[in-house]
Amino acid sequence: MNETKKTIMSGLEPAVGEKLISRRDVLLRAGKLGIVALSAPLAVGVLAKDTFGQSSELPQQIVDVLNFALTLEELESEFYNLGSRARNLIPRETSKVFETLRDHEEAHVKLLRGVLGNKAVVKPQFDFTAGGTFPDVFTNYQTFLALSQAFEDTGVRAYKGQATNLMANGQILQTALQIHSVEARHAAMIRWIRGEKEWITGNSRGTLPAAAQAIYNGEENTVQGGIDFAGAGGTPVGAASQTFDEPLTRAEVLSIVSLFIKS
Amino acid sequence: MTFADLATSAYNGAGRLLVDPVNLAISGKIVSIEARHAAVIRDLIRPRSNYFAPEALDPAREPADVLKIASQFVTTPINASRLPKGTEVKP
Repeated sequence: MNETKKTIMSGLEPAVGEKLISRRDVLLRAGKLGIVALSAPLAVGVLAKDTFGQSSELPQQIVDVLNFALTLEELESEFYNLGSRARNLIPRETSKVFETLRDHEEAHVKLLRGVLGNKAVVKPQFDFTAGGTFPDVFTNYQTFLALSQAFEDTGVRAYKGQATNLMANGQILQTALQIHSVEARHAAMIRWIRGEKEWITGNSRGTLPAAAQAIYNGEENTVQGGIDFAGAGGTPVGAASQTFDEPLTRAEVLSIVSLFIKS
Repeated sequence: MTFADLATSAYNGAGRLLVDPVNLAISGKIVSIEARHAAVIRDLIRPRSNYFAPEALDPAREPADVLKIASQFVTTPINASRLPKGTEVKP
């Protein structure tokens, strides 16, 4: 790991940020502030400071979590931006889906940057080929889809793992939860397009390559709150694992996404 | 779709009301499944549109607002007046 990467990594924390206020709420408040010409994502960024206070007042733990989330959102945002600009990659049938994903991840980036202010980490440089492992990521739709699923399923687990680290600020926690469930919608949609079940069974990576296994390790857990749901009341083991998504730690997430971060 | 969306917004709104991190962690494991359900049902209604995830941020509803919607489908009266409200939880 080079120096630059080390610096970025040390500034990150587990938990992808989830964010804020409904768009209706944002637009309402934007209207009150006289912000009428901004797109919703931009308005979110403008209002973030107003909603969450100055970033200088945020506890370091929360800053770290939000920067961790920001890095993941930057990765997803650039991925969908490049994908939607690539010629002959995304078929017309699903173009609306990927426009939606792109717009959402952009909004999440703007929101997190707005909250973090000058405490936001610089945007990393990404390599979506992962050092040549996926050379056709932006020319082969199936490769693009596979990475999309990998990023979305990782994002859900990353935000989930950080929720308890945001409890000191109820508004930021709630916003993170609101992002978290949107990431889950994204994940379900991509899995559906790929012909996978929309939720995860055991620790199965389905048709993703072996390199993606770390994204699914631990999903086989069936014990929740000290109760093993496998077999309980006749619940099959598969269903017991499908019913709950599992978190990933910050270190686990960073290990997964570092394949795609150049610096 | 109404139920899965409502459940998602309920978990999202209740998260900040939970004081035990164990409960927050478990509710986080459930809410993303609800959101996955909601996305699939929505895609069945308006396939391959933005309908599966209409907003960049999912709604978060307070318990009383959730019950107001749910009561259309529940004949048993449920009272949330003793639950905390988000506005009472100071960062």
